[in-house]
Amino acid sequence: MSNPGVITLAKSNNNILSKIKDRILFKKNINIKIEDNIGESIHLHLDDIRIDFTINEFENFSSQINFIFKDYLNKISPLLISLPNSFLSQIARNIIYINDVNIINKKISDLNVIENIDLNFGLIRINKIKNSIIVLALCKNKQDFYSYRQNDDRFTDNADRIEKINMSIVKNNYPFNNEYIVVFSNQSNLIRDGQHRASVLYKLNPNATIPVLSLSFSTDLSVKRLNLIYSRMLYLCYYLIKKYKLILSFFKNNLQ
Amino acid sequence: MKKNKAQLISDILRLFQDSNIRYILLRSSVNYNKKILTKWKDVDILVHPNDRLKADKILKKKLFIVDPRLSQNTYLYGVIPFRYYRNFFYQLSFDVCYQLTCQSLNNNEICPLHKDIQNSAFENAQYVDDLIISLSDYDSIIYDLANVIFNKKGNSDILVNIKNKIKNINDIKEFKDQLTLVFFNFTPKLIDIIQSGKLDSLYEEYIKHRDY
Repeated sequence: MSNPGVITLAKSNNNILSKIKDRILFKKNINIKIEDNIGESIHLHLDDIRIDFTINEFENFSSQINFIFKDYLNKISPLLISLPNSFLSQIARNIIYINDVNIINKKISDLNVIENIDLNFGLIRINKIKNSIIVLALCKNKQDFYSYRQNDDRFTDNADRIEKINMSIVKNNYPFNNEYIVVFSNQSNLIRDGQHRASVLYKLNPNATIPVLSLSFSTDLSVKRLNLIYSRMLYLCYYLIKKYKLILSFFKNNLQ
Repeated sequence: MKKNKAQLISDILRLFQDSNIRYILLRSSVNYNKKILTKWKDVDILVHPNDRLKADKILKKKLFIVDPRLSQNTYLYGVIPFRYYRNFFYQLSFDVCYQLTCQSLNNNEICPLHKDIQNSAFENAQYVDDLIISLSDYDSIIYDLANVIFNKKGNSDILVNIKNKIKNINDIKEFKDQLTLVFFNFTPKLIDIIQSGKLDSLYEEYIKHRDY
């Protein structure tokens, strides 16, 4: 019998949209999931294979993996080591394609951000930084931001997170500890990591120019407008199917 | 003449008994006839899975309709989805489950408690009066503890209920095996917490537990 005290510590990104894309492209990705089964053991799932660890074993294992991974990043560029783990896990599949890492200057007001519309589905939108949910929260409209679901840093709430980043930038300036805002070279106005920092910097001085870390890949990782339109259409279908199922279940349950 | 809510609940329970439907009232629903039922009232009831069709017919006869919006949980490991029957005329709801469950800490999916606890629930159920049947003290404590920890329902009613039930038990270690079915290696610490009466810290202690 299963343990109800299970917490997923990490898992490979498998939202509905990327699952559909993988099916269409006949791509087989290994599903990786790490779960803490409280009182039992830590489970590492690799598709159908499961490895059990005690907490001590798992901590040793993960620190070894971290050491090897950071060593690998250092060989590509020392600047990559200071990227946050949450972002590294998002681009993990594509790290092998990085062929150049540069620091370039960007005017903050020219930057755009990616915002989640539906995290489970993987639906996003691109927004100008001045209209982004975080900048609006910093200026006036806090309610939308507090209920906004982030795709990383699940252990802090939105209000705490932005407050901490705000205080850190005021105290330590930007960039602190070589932690740069990240863009990809083929869409260099689109922030891939550091949206909170950029929003705080925008609020402090909208006309400032800041250094950002630009990653170049040998493969195309751009967010295409066409792609966004398709995903919205798929989302609409998904939403309608959900509603249809609900109505169907009402009649099925009550008219039998 | 329109009946009051308590009368309607009693009628339904009597019909359940006449049809040999095995049921148990959960949580504060056992006190339904002692409370003033003015606003919307939920009756939490466990119905034996084999009797669910009979219960469904009786509730529909009493003008309850199933509200599918509330059943949109994710049910794991073969849990039969709950049914939320609503009677808008009486503003009364029968929240029917067919197994003792709790929410997973992960994404609040609904998980069953161990099979032995399910069996024990109906085998050891106790009559409070001719209509009110509740869980035994042992099963009630396990179910409430699971609620406090997994459903994060650390409200005072549940904690008071656990404390009251524990008073009726001579030695909490007697049911260590049943507790282990749900709480695994946390059980010895859980027993310590129960004995020290510091139930308020239960959830935090569970999350912090590292001896495994």
